[in-house]
Amino acid sequence: MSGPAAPGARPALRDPGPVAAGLIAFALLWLALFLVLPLAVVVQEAFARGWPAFLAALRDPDALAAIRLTLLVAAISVPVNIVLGVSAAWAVAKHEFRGRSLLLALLDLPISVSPVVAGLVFVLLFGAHGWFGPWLAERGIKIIFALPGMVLATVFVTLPYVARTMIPVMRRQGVEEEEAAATLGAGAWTTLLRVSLPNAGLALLYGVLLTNARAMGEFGAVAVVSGNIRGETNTMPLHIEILHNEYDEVGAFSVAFLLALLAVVTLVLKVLLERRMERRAGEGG
Amino acid sequence: MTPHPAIRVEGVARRFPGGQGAALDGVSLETRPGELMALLGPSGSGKTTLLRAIAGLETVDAGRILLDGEDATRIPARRRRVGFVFQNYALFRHMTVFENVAFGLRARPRRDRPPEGEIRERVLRLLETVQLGGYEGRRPGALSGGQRQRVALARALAIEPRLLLLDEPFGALDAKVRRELRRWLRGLHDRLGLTTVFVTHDQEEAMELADRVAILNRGRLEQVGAPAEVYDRPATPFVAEFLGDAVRVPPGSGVLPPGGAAAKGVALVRPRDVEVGAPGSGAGVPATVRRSVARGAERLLLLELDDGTLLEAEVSRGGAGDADLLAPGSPVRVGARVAHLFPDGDGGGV
Repeated sequence: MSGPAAPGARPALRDPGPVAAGLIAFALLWLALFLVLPLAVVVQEAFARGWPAFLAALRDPDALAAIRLTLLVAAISVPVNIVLGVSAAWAVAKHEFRGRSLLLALLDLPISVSPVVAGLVFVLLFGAHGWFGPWLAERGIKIIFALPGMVLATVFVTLPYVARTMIPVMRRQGVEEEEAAATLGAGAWTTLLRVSLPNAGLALLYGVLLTNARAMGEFGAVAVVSGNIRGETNTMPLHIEILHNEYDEVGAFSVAFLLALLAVVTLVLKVLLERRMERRAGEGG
Repeated sequence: MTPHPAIRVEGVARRFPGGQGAALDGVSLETRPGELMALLGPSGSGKTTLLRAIAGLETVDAGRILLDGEDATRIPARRRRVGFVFQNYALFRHMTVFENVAFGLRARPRRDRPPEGEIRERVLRLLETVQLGGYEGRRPGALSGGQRQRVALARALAIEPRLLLLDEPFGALDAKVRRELRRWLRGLHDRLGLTTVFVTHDQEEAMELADRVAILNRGRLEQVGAPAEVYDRPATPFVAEFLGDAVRVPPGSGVLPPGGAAAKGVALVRPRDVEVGAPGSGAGVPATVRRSVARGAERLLLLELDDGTLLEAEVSRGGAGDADLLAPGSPVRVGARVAHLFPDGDGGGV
């Protein structure tokens, strides 16, 4: 069955009137000023003193450490959130249980809570004077001002993305295929891995992409728990801030350029995925 | 030679939270070995809920469901070994036809799983059975409705089910494919000998295909019997009205056959059983033709009796004078060859 016709096929919407044309022009102008221009500034500043300065800024040991740490935090947070997100999405989209709407509401918490508050919560829990602080200190486990704290903060902030992108897709697909799997003798694992997940595969990929982008770019929550130890607990966003505060504009913008590049790649992949998802949605079973 | 019926439903009840009335209200039913049974009823009669309850896709509030004599009420769907074909087939959209059919075999625990070669052989053989040899590499999206249906059937048969359940198996198909597939399914059933239950709202489909028909209405079982039996001897007014579009006439009406009139209750007459003759001829009562529609080989008449009762009649078209006699406004005499009387009134019906 074909879905709703593409907007281009609707004659009533094809020829925008003056109001629609005005709105489109305004939106484009706004985007140009607020999105494209800053991006251009980043590129311009990063290369203000040419390639050698740009490369030198990235080869700085502290910059390299920040890049490495950012990748490491993302490499841990993203898989953790895939497991959490897929479990939550499957539970909410395919099952009826008590507390389902509560779970759905909780999934939105990280989006509605300020990242700084999220970071502070972890300090309160695991910091030297926090609830579990003494217990952890006795055993020599360091969470705050160390990698575990930064991973925790990142996982918290990026928790909703996988679940939130998968739930609508999984819901729209209904539960008939899962029921069919059950009548064919499949248990929960087989059903999840062979039926539900592959059907929502593109949505999962999309969620992973968003999670990754947010994990690498997160500033607030990570800033609170990291302690800003140069070369040790600085991720790329934190490193950029330090360089900027030290008036090292080329250094700051060179690292910023890398982050922006990541954003652009994410955006391109996202558009490609969305196109494929739309096509899939039209096919149906 | 199974000593127990494949399906035995005992007083099953089910009420959906927030739903109006009970979806199932104390249904008891038993299949005979190897039979093809139809669950027939209007939408909302509970037929699909009953089918899903037998498969374990729906829980029941009361009653028991026995499969091969074993109480399966609390057994989860995946352990019931019941083949189920969904109305919209529910094929795994990202898998090929081959993988769809192989799914049930691959999903088995390792120790029960056949070796890869045997899976392949069985899947291909099943695809031959449903006349889809050569289609194993396709995806469901590239198949027609009738082909998807047969894939769903092969997939259900792959697990060697003890019985087969089909939910509105022909609902999503156009009329021509539906008729072909109906005949083919009957043939397949006769070859496999598997006890099969299917749900339909189409009485013609139920009558043509099934060995026995179970008629449901508002969550209750109205009657179970062979197609001719339920048609000729409807047990309740609902069955009479549902099968053959019977209309109600006052129980004392002169239209009813001699000796067929009653003082009270419900009398139902099917359009096919109404005889129409020229005024002054034979038995019956006078009436006036109000509407006359030629419908293929039959003529459908709306007749008004002198007491104001409206009656439908279906007569064959043919005789030269037929059109004149039956023009709107013309007087006729009408009488019913057969009527169904329910002295106790509505019972549980309508």
